[in-house]
Parts: sequence; C-alpha cells; structure tokens
Amino acid sequence: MRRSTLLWSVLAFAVVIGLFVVKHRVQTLEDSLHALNAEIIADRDAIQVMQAEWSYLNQPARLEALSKRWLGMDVPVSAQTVSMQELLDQSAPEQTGKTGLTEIAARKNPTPKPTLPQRPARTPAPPASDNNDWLKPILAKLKKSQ
Amino acid sequence: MIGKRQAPPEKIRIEGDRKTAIETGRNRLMVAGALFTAAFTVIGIRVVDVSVFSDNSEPHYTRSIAKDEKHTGRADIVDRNGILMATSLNTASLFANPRLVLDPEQAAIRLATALAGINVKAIEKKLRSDRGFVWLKRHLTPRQQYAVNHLGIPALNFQREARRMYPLGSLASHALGFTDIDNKGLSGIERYFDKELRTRQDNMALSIDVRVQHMLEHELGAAMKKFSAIGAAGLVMDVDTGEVIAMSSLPSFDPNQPGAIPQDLRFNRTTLGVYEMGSTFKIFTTAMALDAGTVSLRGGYDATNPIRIARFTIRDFHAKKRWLSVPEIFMYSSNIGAVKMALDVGISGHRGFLTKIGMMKPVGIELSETGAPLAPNRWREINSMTISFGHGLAVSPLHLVAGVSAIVNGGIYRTPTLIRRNPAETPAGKRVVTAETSAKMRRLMRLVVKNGTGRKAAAPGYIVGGKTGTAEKVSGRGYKKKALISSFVAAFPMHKPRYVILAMLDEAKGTKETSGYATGGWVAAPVVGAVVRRIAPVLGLRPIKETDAVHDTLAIEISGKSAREPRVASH
Repeated sequence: MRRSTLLWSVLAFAVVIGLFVVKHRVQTLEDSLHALNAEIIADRDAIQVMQAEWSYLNQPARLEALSKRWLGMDVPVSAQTVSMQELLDQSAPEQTGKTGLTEIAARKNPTPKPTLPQRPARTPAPPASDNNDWLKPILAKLKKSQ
Repeated sequence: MIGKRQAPPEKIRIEGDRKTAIETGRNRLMVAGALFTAAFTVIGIRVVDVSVFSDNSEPHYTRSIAKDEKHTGRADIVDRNGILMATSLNTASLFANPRLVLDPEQAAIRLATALAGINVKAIEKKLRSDRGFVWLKRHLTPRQQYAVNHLGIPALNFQREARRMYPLGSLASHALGFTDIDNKGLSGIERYFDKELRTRQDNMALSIDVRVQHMLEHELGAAMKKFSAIGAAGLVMDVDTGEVIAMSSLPSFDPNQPGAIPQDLRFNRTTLGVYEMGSTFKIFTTAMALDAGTVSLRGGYDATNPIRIARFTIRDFHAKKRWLSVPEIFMYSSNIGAVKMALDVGISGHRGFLTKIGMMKPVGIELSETGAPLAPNRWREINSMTISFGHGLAVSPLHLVAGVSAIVNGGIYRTPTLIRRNPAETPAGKRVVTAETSAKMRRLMRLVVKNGTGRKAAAPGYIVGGKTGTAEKVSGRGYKKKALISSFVAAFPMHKPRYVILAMLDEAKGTKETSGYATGGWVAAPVVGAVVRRIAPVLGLRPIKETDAVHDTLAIEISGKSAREPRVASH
C-alpha cells in the first residue's frame, strides 16, 4: 500500500516536471518562431524596397543619360552591327596563326548560329555561351602565360 | 465497501439520535464522493481525448510563414522582361485617438517639427475633434516615423499599410494606371484587373517592354516639343501575337502622386481618344479593293478632276491631274483615287470590311478606357467616300494599329492585348484579307517610305514601310484648318513584318525646318524612323542588307511615267 502510493506520487511528480519542461521548451520555440517570422517579414519588406529601388535606379531614361555621359554611348546605327559571317568574309585573308585558323574552321561549320546584334548599353551583353568554342584557345593561352 | 464499513459496530454500538446523525453524514459523504468521481472521470476522459485523439489542440500563438506566402495585398506588375513596374511597399501611417490627447495645440506644433509640410491648424482641429480615430498622415517614411516616435506624444499610433509605388515614374503611366490611397485601382491595368491584383499571388506580366516604351516616349516627347503639339500618342505592337509592346500617350503623369494628377492628363489618347485618322485609312481602302478584286495593282483611276458631291469638293493635296495607278494613288495619297476605289467596292462592302477589321466597336484590350468609334448612323455614299480617305469615321489609334497589323501580317486580325502572351498560346485570330493582298499591301507601304510621302521614316537596314496621315480636327460641325492630327503608321521589317508602330501628333505646328508643314510626312514620319532605329536592336532585329531576295519580295511596278519623277508629294 505504502509502496504503491510512493510509486504513484513519484510518477506523478515526474510527469509534472516533464510536462513543465516540455511546455517551457515549446514556449521558447514559439517565441523564437515569432521572432523569426517578424524578421522574415522585415526582410521581405526590405527586399521589396530594394527591388523597387533597383527598378527606380534602372529607369531607362536615367540609364540612357548616364551611359551617354560616362560611357559615351549613343543610339546604335545599323553600320555598327555586323554578322559573324560578314566579319569572317572580310578578315579571313589576313588571318594567320593557329588560333585564327581553328576559329575560322569552327565558324565555317555547315550551320552557323545566328549571332546576336550589337545592343545599346541598357541591354545585357549578348550571352557568350554560343561562342565559347573559339574563346577556348585564347583562354588556354592566357592560362599558360600566367 | 459499505459492508466493510458496517463491520466496526461490533466494537462500538451507537444507538438512537447519534446513529442517525452518523448515517446522515455518511450518506452526504457518499453523494459528494460520487459527484467528485464523476467530475474527475469527465476530466480524465477529456484529458485523454485532448492529448491523444485530437492533435494540434494546443493553441498556437504563432505559426511559420509559408515560403510562397505574400506579405502585401496587391500583386506586383512587371514588364515582359520582369522589370518591376508597380509594387506595394509597407509603410507606417500615423493616426491618433483625439480623446486621449492632452494638449492638442501643443501636440500639433510638436508634430509639425517632425513632419515637414503639414498644416498645423488642420492637425490641431483634427486632434480637438470628438472622435476615437483620425488619420494624421498616411504613408510616412521610416525617418518621419522615427521622428514622430521620438516626440513621445501619447494617443498617437502607427498603422502598417501597403502603399502602391511605381518605380519607373511616369513611364507607361497610361497603360499601368494608378490606385488611390486605399489601393483601389482607378485607371489603366490597375483598374481593369483591380480584383485580380488583390487576390493574385504571383506577379502580373504585361506585354510592355519598358525599354521600347522609353524610346517611344522619348522620341514622341521630343517631336511634341519641337512642333509645339498639344499631345502625342504612340504604339508599338507585335503583329503576330497582338501584344502591345509600348503604349504612350503624352503628356503623361506620375502615378506615384495620385492626388495631384489633373483630370485631363489621365486621358489616354491611344485607346480612349477617337480621331479621324486621315490618309492612313487608305491602307484599309486599298487592301479592301485589292482583296475584293475590284482593282488590281496594275489598275488605276482617273484623278484629273476633283469630285463634287453635295456641298463638298474632294481634291488631292498634291494633285497630279492625270490617271493614276493604284501604287501611285497610295504613294501620292490621292483622295480622289481612294474615293473611286471605295465606290467600286460598294457601300455595304466598305462597311462590312471596316467592321471585319474592328473599326466599328471598341477594341477589346484590357483597359477600361477604350473609346467607341464615331461612325455615321446611316452609311450613305458620301460617308463611304469620305471614310475612304479617313474622314467621317473617328477611331482610336489602337484601332488603326490593330487593323494595320492584320493587313501586313498575312491577313489575320488579332485583338490587341497588354498581357504577355506565351508564343505557343497565340490566339488563332480571324482572317480579314488574303495572304496575297497582305503581300501586296506590304509592297505598297514600302513604296511610300522608299519613294513617297513617308521618306522621313526610313531606318537603314530595317526596311520600314508605312503610310502618312493628316486630318483636320473636327470642331463643332466643321473642321479646324490649322488644327491637325498628323500621324504615321508603319511596319518593319517590311519583307516579313514583326512590329507595327504608330506615331501621332495632336495639333503640331510646322517649323522653318519643315517649311511650315505639319503634315504626317513631316512631323510624325521622322519620329517613326527614329524610334525604329532605336528599338530594332533592342527587340533583337538585325539590320538587313537590301539583298536581291529582299528587293524582289518588295519590288513593285509603278506604271505611269511619274514614278521616276524626282519630286515627291509630302502629305
């Protein structure tokens, strides 16, 4: 009788302690979640503000004025745009050296990829991935010289 | 249990009143015990139920934010390349509970130190009012918020509010529209998609390209200033998808200051304004005649004498006073020739054709500001005659651009849209002219820029073709001689059109440079040329050498000896 009473009271006490600890932990976690949520909201607001600012700073009119003033850029004329084929047709006889030849060989494959036109300053530079082949020997050369 | 408890009486015997008292006490104890047992049983069952059977019963006082959850109410609007055009930013708005303000006068004076430019008297009046809530200032900057907090005035508080911002300023303001202070869309896309923007989770992508938009606005603005025009309108449209790449109505406004926008600046000239377009309508007249087969490219009409009907006389601006072939009629913009072409097709045919290319009802674009065309109630011969050269039927510039797109793209009319379309999901559209007619019209339009009235629209390498238009503005019952609507509508590159572009100036005045002319060929065509030269590289078009193949596609036989004449009309 006494033994069982003792057992039960110990068990009850343990459960009470356990419950208290768990409850306390949950509360701490919820507190930190709450803080994190507030932080996320603040960060999202900040990102939103920065995106708006980015867009504001990239106003085409502003970029145009800046690139005119600092980079000397101007409205492109059609004469500034030359396709790779035209360039090769013109420069092929003067080409000497190994890299030049490989370049021409690479360019003269049966389906030459259309090259992107030269663009004004505000557009990103045309992706170079298309023309990586001919860049390789040059890059290799650079590596060697280093 | 009772039996066990009853055993002790063997030792102690209690009789009489005392026994009764004990019995009563025992019974009461039993009842109380039973009640407690019942209560604890119920609690026990509930404990098991709560902790075992129903999960999530623990009340959460916070929850984690989902990854894709939006934090502001209104969806962002971006351009076709994802550049932010409209967004919602959270700001603090200051409000007060006037009942709790101790000294309104002092509070107002101190607030003025933190918030520059507020009306102290008005604030004081607000703080004296007998209400529980008054707005003092909406959308404070973080610095202002800090300053107000620093004052430490009781009864002031902040409310987090989303504020609509347009980081690109006045760019594309008429297409975008704006919202009021409570984020309710009042015009443009903001109004048309008001409900959707409130609930939408992702960004709304427009068909507008802000780079093209800027170039168009810039060139139009420059021309407007140069020719002292009261307004200008411009459009760039993709002929194959019907997407509007740029839409500009000048003067424009800054949607960031919704309260400060004058009513007249809100007017969208490209969609809401309807104008008699003048000679640009000859595109439709000629296309209709060629499509109906009433005349061929080799045919022509006598344009020697002006046409007199009722009290009107229809004459040519630069009269040749001879027989003109169809290409010549188009190239010199002969009104007489156009009238005869339309009359040959007939009144009902003319009306039917214009209905087919959407000139009789508002354009179904995603804007609330769409103007209904002003068409004659009863279509008589005289109406057909004037409409053949663009008078007597007022349409919006968007009508014209959509119609011209259909004429040059192979003959398919597609409703213009401001929403970016997936190229795979381009609507089928409806055929309005045959592919052959479309090819012929492309040649004719190229001819106008090459040898005709639109030579100032030339952009080397991009093979522009178009048509000039000049119309006197309607005023009351007559026309104002000096007030012109000068326009130029073009497509490029002409051997395989990708874009249609329109420039229109409202009441442009001629300058010395233009010898006093304010006609479409002088004031609007150069704008188109300049815009094409600038936007073509951005739109990914390469300049094309006018090779024989291109030349052959666009070659046209101009019968009649005047084709080699060096002097060219500029109307």
